Amino acid sequence: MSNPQQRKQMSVLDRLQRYLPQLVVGPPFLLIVFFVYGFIAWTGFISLTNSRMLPTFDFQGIQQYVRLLAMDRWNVAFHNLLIFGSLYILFAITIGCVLAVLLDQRIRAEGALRTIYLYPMAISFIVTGTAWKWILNPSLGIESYMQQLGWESFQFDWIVNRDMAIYVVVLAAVWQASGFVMALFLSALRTVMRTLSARLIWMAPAPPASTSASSCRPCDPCFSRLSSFSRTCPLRALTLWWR
Amino acid sequence: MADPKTLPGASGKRYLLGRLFIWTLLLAAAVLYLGPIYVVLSTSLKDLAEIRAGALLDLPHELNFTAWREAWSSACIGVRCEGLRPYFLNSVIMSVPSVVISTLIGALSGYALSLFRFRGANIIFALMLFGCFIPFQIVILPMAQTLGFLGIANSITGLIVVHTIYGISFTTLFFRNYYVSVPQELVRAATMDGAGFFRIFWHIMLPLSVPIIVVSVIWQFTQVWNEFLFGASFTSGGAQPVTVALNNLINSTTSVKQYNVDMAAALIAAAPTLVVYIIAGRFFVRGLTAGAVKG
Repeated sequence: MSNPQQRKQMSVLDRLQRYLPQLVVGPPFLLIVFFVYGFIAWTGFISLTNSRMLPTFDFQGIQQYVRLLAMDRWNVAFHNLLIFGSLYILFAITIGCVLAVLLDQRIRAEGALRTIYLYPMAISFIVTGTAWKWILNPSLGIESYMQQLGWESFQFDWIVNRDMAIYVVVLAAVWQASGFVMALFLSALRTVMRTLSARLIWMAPAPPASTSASSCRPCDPCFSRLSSFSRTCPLRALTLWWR
Repeated sequence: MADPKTLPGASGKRYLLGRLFIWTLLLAAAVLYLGPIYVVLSTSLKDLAEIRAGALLDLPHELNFTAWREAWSSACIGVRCEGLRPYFLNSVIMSVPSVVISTLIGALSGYALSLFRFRGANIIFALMLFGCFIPFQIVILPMAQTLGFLGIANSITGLIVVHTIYGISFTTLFFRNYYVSVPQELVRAATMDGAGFFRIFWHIMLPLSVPIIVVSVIWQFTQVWNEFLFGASFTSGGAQPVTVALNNLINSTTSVKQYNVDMAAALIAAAPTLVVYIIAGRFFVRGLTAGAVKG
């Protein structure tokens, strides 16, 4: 240690040691910079050239975008995306939220039900598509089954109807994702409830003699000073209503 | 929480009606979620004559595993008639290294970013996080060129590289957010005792990280196994993963449509992730909510 030569070596090692975190984060960070940011820029650049099968560097401005917007296929796809996107979000959130509120009612079999609602998230959408394609098959699927049961006029042939097929995609996608929305809402509800009960203990005024704390109805003035409650009141009110 | 029995309306007719209503809705939903898997399973066990008779929701007359055998080892996908088995093995060979390598990289970079708050650590983390948000279509074209340049186009190695790289964002997110709650004093004390960067990681942090390692492994495995876009874009023929092979099998128009084989193939392709979900669903949900930025 007393040897100056040794001390100098130590300090080089020390310095290496000090920059080790940066050296460790560096390579993965550079990978992300290249493969995410670099590639997005690359795609953006190629879109401004007249590349075909092979990329060229012939700069053309926004001409490809103009061509794309004029394409019939683009318009159809964009229209479908609007239908799919809005209905998918609407139904997944509605169904997920309702299921979460219902599951939050001290259901004994909550764990089992949650597992059932969420399993579609674990499988590939190719599998989901295969399953629904078979179920909705007009000649052998649910349509023919209902007709065999005696409901002769039952019709559900959306999957082979070019105007309705996109709604079937929504159906399958909602089936796959609504359980996940349920899980998100449920954990949010639980967090709110924890915060709320903690606050009730520390902050709520002593209940008047005639009523007990538990008879304090949602949205009653006795709740009003709980800021976290007022934000979530509509949802909690719904859940307390059924209790 | 107050005892529910003391709440107003906790007993009597209205309460019972409410419970009935809740349970009816919950069970109806459960039937709707389980319906497709029941239909797929029962169809896969029927023979073609039974399927053509129509009764979609009926149980199979007898347990018939012919379709399963055919889907696994002799169904024709393109010109090859070896069933899903080679593609299933492709997916295994593809997912194991991608999961292991990306989890290891994520653990190390998450560790460095959270417990050694060097200047710019948060910015670097934010920049790395962006990789979780991108739709992968935006990198398909440059990636194809890069894979060709590296000489690993149309190979499982290429897919391993792709999945590892695009997994790093997620694994870093998991580990960084997990280690951020570890007190920095722990690292300081260990440094005082003479432990270095890697020693602290190996002997202190990794033993603490079992839950988040499970979350990261399950998340990565599910993502890589179920992934379709990269597999369909970068591979063809013998190098395809099982999801792409399943899609080709379902959409092949060459022979008589064998719905039972299709359904058995779908279940074979879904089996690994379903098993993981059933065994370790809790960790899967944790990964989902942590990675909720992307469904």
